[in-house]
Amino acid sequence: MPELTWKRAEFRILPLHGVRLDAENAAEKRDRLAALIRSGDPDLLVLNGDTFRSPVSEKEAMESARTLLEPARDAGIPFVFTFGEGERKCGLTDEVLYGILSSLPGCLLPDRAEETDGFTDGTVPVRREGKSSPVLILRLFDTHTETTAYERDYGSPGRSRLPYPLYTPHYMDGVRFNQTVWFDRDHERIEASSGRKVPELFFFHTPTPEHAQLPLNQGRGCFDGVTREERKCQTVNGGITMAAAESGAVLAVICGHEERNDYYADWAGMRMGVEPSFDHGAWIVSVRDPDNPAVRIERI
Amino acid sequence: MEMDLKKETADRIRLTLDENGEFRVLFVSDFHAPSDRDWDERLPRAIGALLDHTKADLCVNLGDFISDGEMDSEDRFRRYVSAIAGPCETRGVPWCHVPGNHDHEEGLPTEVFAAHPHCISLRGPDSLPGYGTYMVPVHGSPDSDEPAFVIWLFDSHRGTGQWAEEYGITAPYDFAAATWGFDAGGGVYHAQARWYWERDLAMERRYGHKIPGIMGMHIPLQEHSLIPRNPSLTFMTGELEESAGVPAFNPGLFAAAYERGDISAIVSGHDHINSFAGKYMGIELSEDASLGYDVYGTDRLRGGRLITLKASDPMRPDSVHAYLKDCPGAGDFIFREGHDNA
Repeated sequence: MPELTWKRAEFRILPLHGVRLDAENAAEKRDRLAALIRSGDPDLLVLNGDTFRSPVSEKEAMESARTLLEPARDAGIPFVFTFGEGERKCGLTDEVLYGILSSLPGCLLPDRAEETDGFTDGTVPVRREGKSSPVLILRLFDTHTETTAYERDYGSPGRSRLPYPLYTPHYMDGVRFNQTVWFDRDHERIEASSGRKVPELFFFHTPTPEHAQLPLNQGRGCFDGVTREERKCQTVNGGITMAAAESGAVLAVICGHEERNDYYADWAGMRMGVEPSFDHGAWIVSVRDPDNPAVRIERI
Repeated sequence: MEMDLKKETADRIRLTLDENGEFRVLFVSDFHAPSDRDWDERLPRAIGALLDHTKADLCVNLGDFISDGEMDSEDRFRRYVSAIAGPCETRGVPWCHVPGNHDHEEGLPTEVFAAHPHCISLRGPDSLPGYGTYMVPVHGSPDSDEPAFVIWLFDSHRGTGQWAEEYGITAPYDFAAATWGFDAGGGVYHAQARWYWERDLAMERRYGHKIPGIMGMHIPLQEHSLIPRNPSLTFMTGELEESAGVPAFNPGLFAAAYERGDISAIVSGHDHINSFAGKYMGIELSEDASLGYDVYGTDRLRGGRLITLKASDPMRPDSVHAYLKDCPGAGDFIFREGHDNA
């Protein structure tokens, strides 16, 4: 059972995506992570997909990940991870990458979901010192790769890649419906055992269609940030945003995938964000007051 | 969760496949009767003509019975329901319904419908928001416990504000609709999509295999609008004369149906002058055009969607738009006044 303790006035998370480790760049990435940790002062690091993307050997992956995470290890900051589509393009299997990352010092392995087809779906509870029931749940989802994989897994006799799709024409997979149901059930189970709604933060790599629509509302007070490139999102909506809103428990839904887009907005009581990739920016997602939680995003 | 089909479905009339292993479901919608005067007299005749022409085994009304939520008197409402139920009742055709966004719950009590012997509508589980989310099983034979098909029906509610109120959601919740062509008229909630998933899974556990089915609701899914955007690749048939009025939010129901792999068709109402159908990821998405005369519509498309479920090929039902103009004798009244209120 992973353990995270809420020790300060706020709980600070440094989510990172698109690190894109390879055999050559680990030292450079490590130095950037060290700077981010110094300025962000996080309690936890979330590797939110595309930590790997370029072809690497198992040995290179292990060495580069260990190098990257040296600053976190030295500062005593634990990390969790989830996979994006990049992990499926680096030439190593999910099992091998999972084994590499989970063997590194500071890795917190989530309670893994059993009934989903997401490899890295899981939860990490955050507790106050000396308390048994969680005050915050961090929920990680695997967003798979592209819709071709979705079709492969469920055997569509048709095609998902239409020239005029509902959302963006990048045909990405995302949080599927079976993963959404896992959240529904698990959230209810946690509420039943805790006797109250426990607030949650979601982290996953590929944005939802609802994320992609947020910049259409630039200029409204609830929107903050910029878009510098075309927005990309899941093609077949798995319903996770509406499920999160209906649950009344989700504080924020933090995604990545895009390189230079950097925006968030408040929608239906949730802060929904698309963070820039590792080389283009970083956020601290902090939660204040576990009894009356509010989420804040700082650009660092 | 265990599955007890008898407790969860209407056992009033047992629907069964015919001697050819087929079952014909006619979806109609959008009658939009006025609240302060009687409905156009052609409506019941149109329903009867469609029933005769299609030889439907079940008629599913996908809502918007009334334009303004409720009628000005209970007597008028009871007479109206009797008038539109009449064609089914006199022919012995079972029928059921879901509410549309114009049908306020307080103005559309299900007991008025259920007073008719062939009505098999249900309110559905109390745990779900709204009313009219339920399943209708079609059995292979009169003595079979196991359904051969399931018709899943959903309340699609009235608007995003109603959704927000239901779940205590604070503003802003409406801006996702800004420029995507989606409207805020309502839609199936996520809780209902999950209900389908859980009950379908329970049924699979109960019977040892998936039960094929189709779905119906008043407001189309967002995915319905993919069909007219991509007519050739979705093998679109029928017509589009107004943009598909799909919801601002997506509950994941299409993804649920796709991942379960047992839904062949999803039929909606709501848009009055669309009769299109097309396939996306193996599931046919269609709209049934308005049959009503008291609202905008067109005689050219007036009709309903007929889906013929077949035991011989359960995931590939026949699906056609049944045009009223093709019904024998229908021309005697539908073109009587050159009526075209589009």
